[in-house]
Amino acid sequence: MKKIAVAENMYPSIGEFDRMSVKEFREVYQTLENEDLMLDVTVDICGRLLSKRIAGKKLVFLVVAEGDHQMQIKCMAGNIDHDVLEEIRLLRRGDIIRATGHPHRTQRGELSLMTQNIRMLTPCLHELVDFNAISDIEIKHRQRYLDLMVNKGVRDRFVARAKIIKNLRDFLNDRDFVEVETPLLHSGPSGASADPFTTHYNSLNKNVYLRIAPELYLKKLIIGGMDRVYEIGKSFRNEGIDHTHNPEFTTCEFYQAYADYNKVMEMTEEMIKYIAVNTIGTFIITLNKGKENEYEIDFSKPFKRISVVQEIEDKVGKSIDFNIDTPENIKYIKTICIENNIPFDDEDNLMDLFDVLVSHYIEPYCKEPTFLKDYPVISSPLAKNHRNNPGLVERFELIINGMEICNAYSEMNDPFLQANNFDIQNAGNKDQATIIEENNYVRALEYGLPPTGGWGMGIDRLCMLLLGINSIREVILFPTLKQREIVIDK
Amino acid sequence: MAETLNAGEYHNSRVELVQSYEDSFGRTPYPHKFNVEYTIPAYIETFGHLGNQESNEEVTTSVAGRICSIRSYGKKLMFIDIRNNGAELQVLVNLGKYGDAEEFANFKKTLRLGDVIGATGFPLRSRSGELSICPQTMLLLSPCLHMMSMNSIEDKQVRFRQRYLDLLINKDVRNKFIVRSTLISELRSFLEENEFMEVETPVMNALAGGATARPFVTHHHDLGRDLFLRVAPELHLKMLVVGGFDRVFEIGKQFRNEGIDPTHNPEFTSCEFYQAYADYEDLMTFTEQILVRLVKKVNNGSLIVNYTEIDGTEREIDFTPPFQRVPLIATLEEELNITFPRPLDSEETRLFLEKVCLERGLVSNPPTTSRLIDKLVSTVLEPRLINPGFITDHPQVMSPLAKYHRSEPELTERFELFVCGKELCNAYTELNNPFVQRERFLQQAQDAAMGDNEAQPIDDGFCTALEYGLPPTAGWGMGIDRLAMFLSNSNTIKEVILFPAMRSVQEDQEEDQEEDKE
Repeated sequence: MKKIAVAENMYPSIGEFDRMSVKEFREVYQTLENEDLMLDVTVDICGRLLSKRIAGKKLVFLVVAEGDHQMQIKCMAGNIDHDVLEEIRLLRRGDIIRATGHPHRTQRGELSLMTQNIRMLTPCLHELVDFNAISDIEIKHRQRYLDLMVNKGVRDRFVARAKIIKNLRDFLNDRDFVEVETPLLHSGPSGASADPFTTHYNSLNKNVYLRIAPELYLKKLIIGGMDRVYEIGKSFRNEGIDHTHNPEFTTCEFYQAYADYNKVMEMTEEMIKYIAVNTIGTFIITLNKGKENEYEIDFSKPFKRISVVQEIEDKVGKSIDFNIDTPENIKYIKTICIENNIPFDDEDNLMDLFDVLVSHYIEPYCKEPTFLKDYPVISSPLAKNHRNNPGLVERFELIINGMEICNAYSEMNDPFLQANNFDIQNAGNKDQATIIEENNYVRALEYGLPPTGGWGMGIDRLCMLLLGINSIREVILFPTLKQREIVIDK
Repeated sequence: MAETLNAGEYHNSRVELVQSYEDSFGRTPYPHKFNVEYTIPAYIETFGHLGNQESNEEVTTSVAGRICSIRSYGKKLMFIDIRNNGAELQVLVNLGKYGDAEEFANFKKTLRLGDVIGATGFPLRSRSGELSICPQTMLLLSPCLHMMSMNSIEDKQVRFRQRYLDLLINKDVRNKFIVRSTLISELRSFLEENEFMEVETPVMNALAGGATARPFVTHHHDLGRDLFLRVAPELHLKMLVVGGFDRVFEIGKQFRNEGIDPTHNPEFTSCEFYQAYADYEDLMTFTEQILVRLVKKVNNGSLIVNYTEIDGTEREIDFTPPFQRVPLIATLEEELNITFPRPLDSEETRLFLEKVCLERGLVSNPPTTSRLIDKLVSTVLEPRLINPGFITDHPQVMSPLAKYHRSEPELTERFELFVCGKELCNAYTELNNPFVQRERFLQQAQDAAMGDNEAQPIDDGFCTALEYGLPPTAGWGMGIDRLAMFLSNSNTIKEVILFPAMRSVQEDQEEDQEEDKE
């Protein structure tokens, strides 16, 4: 760290002056011609110093950035006090400065500020490395502000993320959905299967859980007559961190009364196309850009639809019932795996084997947007049984680039079947708090949940997809970090 | 004759009906899909032009909703009111127009209050002027297995623990949540119009900084470490300003491991924004603009809001700017006729304040200077601010993240907006001097050593970020639940949170008994 005599006045207040943004400056004075200098106009610009070029004893060029925009500041002896020129020589890359001067276009055509006075607003006490010079993942994630300042494309990525979420909101709001908030702290974890985070609520002296999903609460709102609701927010899984999993992640869930999974499928296709075109301006996304295995995915084509169980059966050439949870049936399926050289774990249960077969036979062929639908009943305790085939549920997942983006179904609204499904799921291994929550939910169903279509999407994953990013930690501003082992001493 | 059964018997008879429904009627009581052409509000808009007794039998359309009233008129007529989206429509079931006589008879026997049904038919307005639909067919979409009354529900246990009933039956509840949703949406729009960008910062962190509060702690198995639920997103948002996002905001949940009371829920929603190159004066003006915009949006364009406090006092809150300003120390000194000894962070001052508080029967535990001043402010200043008012220039000892005042020694450039005696916003020119920031964190550590379990932890990573240079910046936070309370005339926070935290039923009953005694 540089040693500088620090006084409180090195961090001055912003003061009273009319600041013009760099963006506005470029717009307002774009008509200036080369060598124009507007001596009758004085403008104040603020920003972070990116570069300083000394072009002789009497001339210094600065480049200053504010947000997405940059501009040049020209410091010429004659226009500027000698003292100020000296101070300018003390400025370093990274300092936040205020420059006062006249709009000017240089001989070479660069729109600039011909400066009279420069003040430092906030010093940068560390050396700010050069453009694109930060590759250490630790630094990128722990000091995201450096990554944003220095590395190309990082800022744009998060601007795009904000846009993606905004477009999602607009899409739902335009269809009369109401955005709501349900609790993040649940009495009993439910709504999906995953390990929850536990915490302790002191004043009530009880344990509560960070939600795995808002599903059950949102359906209670449908029962309450709020026919179209959605929620965008964090959910939590107490599991490992990898390139598609962060322990806290952002999802959107929506529920629409009187819709079914077919309707929701149509909406999903419409929505993804809408978001794509309004965020990245095109229906075509490029993956592995610039690399040898670069390829494109075209969203403008109709999304494929595959009946999952049917597809697996076709590929293996045998019929499989994924609902019979017996050792014989499991052995039968494992044999099929062995015959087809598909690896699995010995402890794998029926659902694990189903996932294994889907991963092997189906997901790799789902680079293009594909709806996988009609899952086995035991895979989805909250989904409604298929209207034609009781061994299946009316559920779909949207897979793009081999990654699950959405999960949706016609909602189970028969309280007797729902209670039964809860009983089967995780039987004997459930804690009291979860059982109470589930009973509360079944009780709500007894008041009558209209036929409803529900949907959930991982927003981080959608961002990864649309922005061509491979790691979820690169679309989350501050991903969950391992404990720092070494103290980095600069 | 459901009315003569008790709730349990009613429930059993409905269960029996539903479980034998498919056998009796040849179809499931939980069908998969019914095509709804119009929501009820849309239906009313489309067919509202029909005059009395006018019908349009050329049109076949469909609606669905929950039965909120049902009566038969002889053998050939049923009047069913259904509700969805906050509006009601009459289903005028006429045997003469209904397709299937047997089905009609079955519906007469089996339909009950609370059932969700669909109706396909033609629009008409009845003789008495009721806009209706006259169905050729109906479908039971989801039966209600419990006795429903459409009389209002007063019992708070039911209202908050079974919010769906509250929403269905109590008329203004749905509206309150529409107001809440509108407020958030409008705030978002306003900020985006002013070029703020929405971001998400972590809920779980190694430290719980950014505000003074007790955190929730959880444990991540895989990393083998404890994590805290955030009490505020402040520090991360400021790091983003360092990173070059000059205008950022976040709307989301914060968590405080504290008790439940009429204005506190352990998880609550706040909005925080940070604006580079602004100061707290700029934000006071901006706050006035925000409130004017939000109040007008949900209050029919008026800035006068009617509000009933929890003790029954009726208020008219006037949101017309400019809001009054109450400098904290100066006003306390005036009101209490005292002079604070300086420096404010001395032990002498602390003892002085302890004495002043004791004289007024006020105790603080632990008795840090910050908490003692806070007690005085709560008692002397806050209750005066019914119309929106800014308490300003808080002392540094109370504000570890706020910038020292440019002219007043030992104070900061901070304000809190109070409405009806309750804090709504907290904002300041941000402390961007890393040296001073480290000192302040150390001071907080001293408070922690004194037993203050709300004191903010030292965040080294944040201080390092400041060393890279945070431009002169002002930041702001607002409690969304509290705003929703004021603008929906709700005097407890539970009224504006869909699923509020609840004590055990027993604890709630004990508290109710205590309140009755008072």
